[in-house]
Parts: sequence; C-alpha cells; structure tokens
Amino acid sequence: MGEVIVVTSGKGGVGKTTTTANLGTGLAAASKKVCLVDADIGLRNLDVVLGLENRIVYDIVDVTTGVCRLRQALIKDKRFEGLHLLPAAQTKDKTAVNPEQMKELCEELRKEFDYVIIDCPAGIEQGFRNAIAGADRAIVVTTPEVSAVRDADRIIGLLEAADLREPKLIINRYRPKMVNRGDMMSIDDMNEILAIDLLGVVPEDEQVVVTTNKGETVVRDDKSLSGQAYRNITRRIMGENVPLMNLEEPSGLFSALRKMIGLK
Amino acid sequence: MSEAVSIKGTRHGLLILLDKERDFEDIKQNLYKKMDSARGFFKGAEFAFYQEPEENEQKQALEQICMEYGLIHQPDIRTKIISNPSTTSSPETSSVPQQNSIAASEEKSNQTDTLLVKRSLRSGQKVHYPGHVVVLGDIHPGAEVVAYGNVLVMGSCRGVVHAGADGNKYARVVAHRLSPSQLRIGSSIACAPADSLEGAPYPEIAYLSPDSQIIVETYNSRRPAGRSTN
Repeated sequence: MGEVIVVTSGKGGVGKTTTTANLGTGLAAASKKVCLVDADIGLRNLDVVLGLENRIVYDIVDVTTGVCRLRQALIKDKRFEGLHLLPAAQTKDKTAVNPEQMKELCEELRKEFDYVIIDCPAGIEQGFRNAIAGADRAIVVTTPEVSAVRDADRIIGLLEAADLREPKLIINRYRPKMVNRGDMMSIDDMNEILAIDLLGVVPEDEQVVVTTNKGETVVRDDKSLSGQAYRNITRRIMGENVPLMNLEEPSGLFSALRKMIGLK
Repeated sequence: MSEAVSIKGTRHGLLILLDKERDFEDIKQNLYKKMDSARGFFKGAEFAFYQEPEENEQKQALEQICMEYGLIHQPDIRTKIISNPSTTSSPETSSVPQQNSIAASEEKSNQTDTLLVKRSLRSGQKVHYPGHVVVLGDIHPGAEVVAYGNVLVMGSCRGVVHAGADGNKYARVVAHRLSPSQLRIGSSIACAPADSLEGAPYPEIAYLSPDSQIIVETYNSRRPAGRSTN
C-alpha cells in the first residue's frame, strides 16, 4: 500500500506545483511508482510544468463522475518509468469533486503506487478540503515572507484539526545573502514561528524557472543547488536520514550559495 | 488508596477532609499522625471539617485532637470555602496572592473556571472562554484568546489577547514571552508598536493602571500581580 502525501501552502505562488513536480520526478527517478494528482480544478498547471499538457484526454472530474476509468485518465510520463499524472479539469470548478470522492480516489491509487502526491490549490476552501481528504501526511511549502508564513501557520492549524498530524515544512526560494543582510526571514525565524519539522530548504534559483518553462524539472539537474535540495528532500521522504545542507555545514552552504548568487 | 484524613490549606484556613468510609479509630489515628508530622506547623491556624462527623462524640474527639496541637476551630471557614468554588476545586492554589485581586472583584461575575489549552494556537484559531485561560504552548500571530478572567501563556504570545473581556479591569496577562500584536484588558486596547522587534526575552505581565492604561512590566514572582495596588 502506497502513501498519499498532500503538498499545500495556503498562499499561492510559493511553489506547490513546482515542488510536487520535482518530488514526483525525484521519487520516480529513485525507481518508485508515483502518481501526481492535480487537485487544482479550474486552474490546472501541473501538467504544463511536467510538459504533459498535450496528452490529456480525461481528467480527475471524468474519473469521479464515472465518464472514464481511472486507468484511462492517468498519463504516463515517457521520460521516467513509474511517473504518472492525474490531471485536473480545466473547465469545471472546485465543487465538481467532493472530499468523499477524493478519499475513494486516493484509496484506489494507493493500491497501485508507492507514492501518491496531491498538488493542493491555494486557499482554504473546498479545493483545499478536497486535496487533504485522502492524505496520510502533508507537506507545507512556504517562502521566507511574512504573508506566506502566516498562511502556512493557518494551514498547519487546519491540517492538525483535520487529523493530519505532524506536517513537514519545505522552505522555498530561500536567499541566504538576503538573510545575512537581515533583509529576509531566516530558517530559524520560520522554525520558531511555525514549530514543525523541516523537510528541506530550497534556495532561490533561476534554473527552476528555466527548467519549468521547458516542461522539465530541476531535480534532474545535477549542477544546480536547488536540484540538490530537491534530491535531498526526496530521499528524506523515502525515509533516509539526510542531514540538512545548511544544518550540516552552515558556512559551507552559505559560501557556496553566495558564490552561486555572485556569479549571476 | 486515599488517606483517612487529608488537610488542605485554603485562603480562609485549614480544611480537614475525612474519609467517611473509614473506621473512626482509623481517622483518629491518622489525624494524630498528621498533626505530629506537622511539628507544630499548624499552630494558631483556624480549621474546619469539610464534612463533620455525624456523631457529636466523634466530632468533639477530633476537634479535641486539633486543639491539642494549637489549632483554632472556626466552623465559619467551611461555609466561606464552599460558597467559593475556586477554593473547593483547588484549595492549594487559593493562597496565590494574584487571586486576591480577582477575589475582590469577582463577586459580580463567576469567572473562576479555568480552561487549559494543551497545545499552541495557530493563525486563525480562536479561544473564547468565560473564565481564566492557561495556554501550554504558544499563541501564534493571527490567533486570538478572549477570556473573562486572566490569561497565562506558558510560551510566546504573539497573537491577540483579551483578558477581562467582560469588563474586568483587574484581569492580567502573563506570558513567558509577551509580544502580542494587540493586547486588550477590560475595555483598554494596546497595539504593538509598528517597528516592534521581538519582545523582551523574559516573562512579562500586563495589567491596567488605575487610569486604565495597559502597563507591561517584567514578571516578578515576588510581586506576582504587578506593581499596581488593584
């Protein structure tokens, strides 16, 4: 039986979809059977990020309403053995699916896959409730901004209320140079406010935009630091004990990041 | 197994609880033992039985024992204590001086019940309680606590806190780290300064001055209710 993980944040634009795509690709690259579910009905874009847009025939609403079978709606990624996508519907809205249907869907998917990763929409309304309904654990993505951290805190409260205990945190778009100047919240600041386990820190990296626009994922880029961060997070999800890059050797990471940012 | 006799210290005096299930001889021996082990500590204290023995003979015998050890029988204590729920539910805490200020004002509203929140309150979560609130955890920014009585936070307090929400001017807010975005006591409101950095790295207490200004000062256990006289 596989595990269902929801990637959520509350605020939009912090990198839920990018994180979902990278974790999915990373896990598939580690020979796991992975299904990514785009729960952002009406604003689908996980397919675009994965470069699978052209191959969509059926979507999640078609599955829950019985228009097609689950198998028919799953899109198999040709680059990575084991990576599948269940796309969102583009012409419907969040009310097209209810939490009960999502639960059933997750139960169905977990029989076949090692990991089912759900890309949650922004907000705390029905789309969010749908996305978390069938999840076993949750990953909260935030950026080092007060608004994103505040929303993450709210989301963690809602997750705990929904019995999704001990959500894990990913800090995205982290800029050590700005933190050193005192212009950005530090990892410690966010840890203190949110008080949940840190799954990883992804530094700000132009390469994320470059790869995303090409329908690729940065996790496959051996040279970029953000790719390394996503690979580490992937290994932690699989239960490996990988030390945080920054916690292991703070000075090493900071100087490496500074060098990288300095080159730009 | 509970003891045949237990003694609770209350604000009004000593309350002696007897286990009626036990044999009277048992109770008597246990009372002797208790008094002996107190080594004169109770001398001069006023006392009453929570439930007096039904038989007059027994009652007198027990009173006699207590008086031998210098205690003064004062049956009035019992009615005082029983009419005041805070002392019967937890007699031990009633000697905490902070409660005195409440006691002075509490006749008008029964705000002595306490809600224990055994987790942190996150953004969007709200606790509203017609009594005291104790939070074992943090109050995150965006969270809210509204209490008719006092608010005690055994962690950092960065959300909105309202103590004495029913108009109690004597309510207090105590936090391990007190840096709320907004603090209200009674009908007074204080906002954190716009350029506020982190609050003080030690426990603080907030209370109302006689002219209804919110005062925040270092929490001092020797002056647990703050500097004010109210």
